[in-house]
Amino acid sequence: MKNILLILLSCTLAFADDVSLEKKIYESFFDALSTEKTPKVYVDSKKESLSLSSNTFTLVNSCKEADIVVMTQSDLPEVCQSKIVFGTRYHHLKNDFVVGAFFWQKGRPNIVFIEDRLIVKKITLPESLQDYLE
Amino acid sequence: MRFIVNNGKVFTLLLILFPLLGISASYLYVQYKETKKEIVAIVQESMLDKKHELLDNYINYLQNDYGKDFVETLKKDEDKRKHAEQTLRLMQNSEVQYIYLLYIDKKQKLRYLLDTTKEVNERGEFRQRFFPQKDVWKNAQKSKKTEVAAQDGIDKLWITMAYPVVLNDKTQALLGIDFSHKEYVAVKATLLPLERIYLYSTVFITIMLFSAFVQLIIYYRHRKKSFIDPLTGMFNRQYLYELLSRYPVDKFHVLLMDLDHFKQVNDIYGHDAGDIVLSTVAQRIRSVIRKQDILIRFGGEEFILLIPAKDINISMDLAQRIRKHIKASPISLEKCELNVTISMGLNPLPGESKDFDGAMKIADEGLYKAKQMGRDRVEIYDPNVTSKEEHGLESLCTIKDALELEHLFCMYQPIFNVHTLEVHSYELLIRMRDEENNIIEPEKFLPVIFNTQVYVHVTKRVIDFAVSTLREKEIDLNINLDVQDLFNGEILDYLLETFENEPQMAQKLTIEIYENKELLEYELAARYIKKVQDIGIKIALNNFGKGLVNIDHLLNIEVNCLKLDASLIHNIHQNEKAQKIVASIQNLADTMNIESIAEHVETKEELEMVKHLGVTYAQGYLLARPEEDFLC
Repeated sequence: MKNILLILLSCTLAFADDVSLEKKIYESFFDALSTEKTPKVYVDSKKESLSLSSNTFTLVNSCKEADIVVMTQSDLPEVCQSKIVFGTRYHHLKNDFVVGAFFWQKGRPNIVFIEDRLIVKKITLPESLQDYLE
Repeated sequence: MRFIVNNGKVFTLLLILFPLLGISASYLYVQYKETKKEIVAIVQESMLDKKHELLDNYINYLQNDYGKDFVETLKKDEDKRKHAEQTLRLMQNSEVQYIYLLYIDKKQKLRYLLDTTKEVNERGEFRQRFFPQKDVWKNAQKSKKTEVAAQDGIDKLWITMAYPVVLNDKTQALLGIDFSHKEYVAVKATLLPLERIYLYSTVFITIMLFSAFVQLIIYYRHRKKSFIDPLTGMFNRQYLYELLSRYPVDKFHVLLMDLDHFKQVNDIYGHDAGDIVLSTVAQRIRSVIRKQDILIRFGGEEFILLIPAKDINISMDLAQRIRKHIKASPISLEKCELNVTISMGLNPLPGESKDFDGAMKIADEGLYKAKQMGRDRVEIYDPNVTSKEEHGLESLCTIKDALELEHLFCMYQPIFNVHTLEVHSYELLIRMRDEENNIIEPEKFLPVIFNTQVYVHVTKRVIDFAVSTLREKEIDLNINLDVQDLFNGEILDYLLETFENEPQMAQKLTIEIYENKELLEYELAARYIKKVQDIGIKIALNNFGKGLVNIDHLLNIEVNCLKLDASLIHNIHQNEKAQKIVASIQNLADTMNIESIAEHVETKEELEMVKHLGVTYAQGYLLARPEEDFLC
């Protein structure tokens, strides 16, 4: 799994504008963060790589229905904060309800998971993502 | 075959050469790309050297201001970090996209200590984990030397420089600089026109070479085709000359082969049948010859076999095998089967001739010797024993030379009205003059050239003589042609083309036909004779009363005149049987309204007798000998 993720990251680097690859990276996170077979995902604003549902997740229109919330804005409604929230900026991690983030910085992909917050949400990351725990 | 192989070598050479040139052109382009890389590397190195020096200074500054353990100091003091960051920012310019200092935590992870980046989303915060994508950081940490890596997959970035901060022989931190892509783009843009020139030149050269290569292949294919006779699939005359331009003729024995009576096959069975015969014969020859022998269709029904010169007996055996194989079984045509034979002349010493034409003449002599001796045979011509010595005949070469050198000329013998003894007409007689200016009778040279193209030329020359004579003199003229001449399309066409627009001249001409087997092909002969008569030319049957010339001809062919054979006229006054025959022929001629001529009248008694028997005209030494300048 770790190897696959590395390959995906490498491919993302090689084809940085390829949104489908970024989507696959998100899919691997959703798989790790949710026990649902097809988790329901809510994105708080338009994000190209998460604009369509796939076989591994379903996009929903409200936080209430969602298993996972992808945060792209600076603020997130309180109703969403109880969900498994995944950020798209490093500063999103300053919010205690954000369990992890995937973001681009200096042209490089960055993945961070906050261990304490995962524990609270009773989430155990697979071996492949352990390296990204903080 | 050798020639094809030789051409194959040239072809193979070009086959190698063209791709090599293509590869060379591509190599030039690749070399340019390498040079470009080197130029970029030089620019990069120069840029890195400068930065390296600045980073050395910066680390010295940090050590001076915050002590040797400045990494720990900066970790603890935010103000100092801000101050150090401001100083670090001084190094940022258009070349540098990002510059940052990373420390190594206890778990050997890299974390931001300082980052000069202003954009919030791009700036790494203090303690934030840095995720390296390249081994450059690990390498720099381990080697304690500056490492550089190209950032091919990252937009805006060109290269990343990892500068290790080594304290107490241990890498404590890493200074990172991400160089802007702008510099690289600028270098590339400077080199772009040159790159395009190289690229377009390489592409152009490659396309041109490819095109030339394709053209070459097409050329060689066509060239090969141009050497093949389409009917028989054998090499043609063009190939022969190409071959001889490369190989001396003395490398081969020359075997010249000519199908017997092929013209009759075409005339009687048609050209399609003739084509079948030719291709079948070619295949039969090919099935007998060896790989090293070269078979060429020289033209018409003539083939040449070039046999690698070794033993004359081998060549002779081969020739005999070919001859036997051709006649072994008849050739099947649509409606019948045809027995075909071939005559051959072998020249085993072509090197003794000055050129191939000379060698061919010798083979030609052998061939016609074979024809003379009854056909279906192989003859070796010995230039030391001439036909003249053997049979009193002139050689083909001599006759060809005579034709070329205008040594052929005409004589005229008058034909008299027996009753008035006035000249009625003249018989044109062809003669040849030899090197010693002796006059050669046609019996000495016509048999040699019979069935050859030389004969056709001589016959045309006779027609030319007749035309010029008729134009100059107001007389009637007789010329002698073999009936076979009328079967020859080239001669017949020449005759018709010459006289069809000259009706007055045509009416003054009589063709005395010598008969041979062809005259028995009445239907065809009658057709050709009618064509001649249609344009006004009269036909006389020569040597009537002798041999094959019989009354049957008169039933089938429209004849204007009968020329009584010399055997009937000689001593006719003493020969009652001859008198009775001549009287009967004359009676027949009178009945059919045909004129008669007695030839070879040499005595007064003979003249009186033919006059008595009612013959209209006479000629012979008694009356007048042939004279060269009698008229012309």
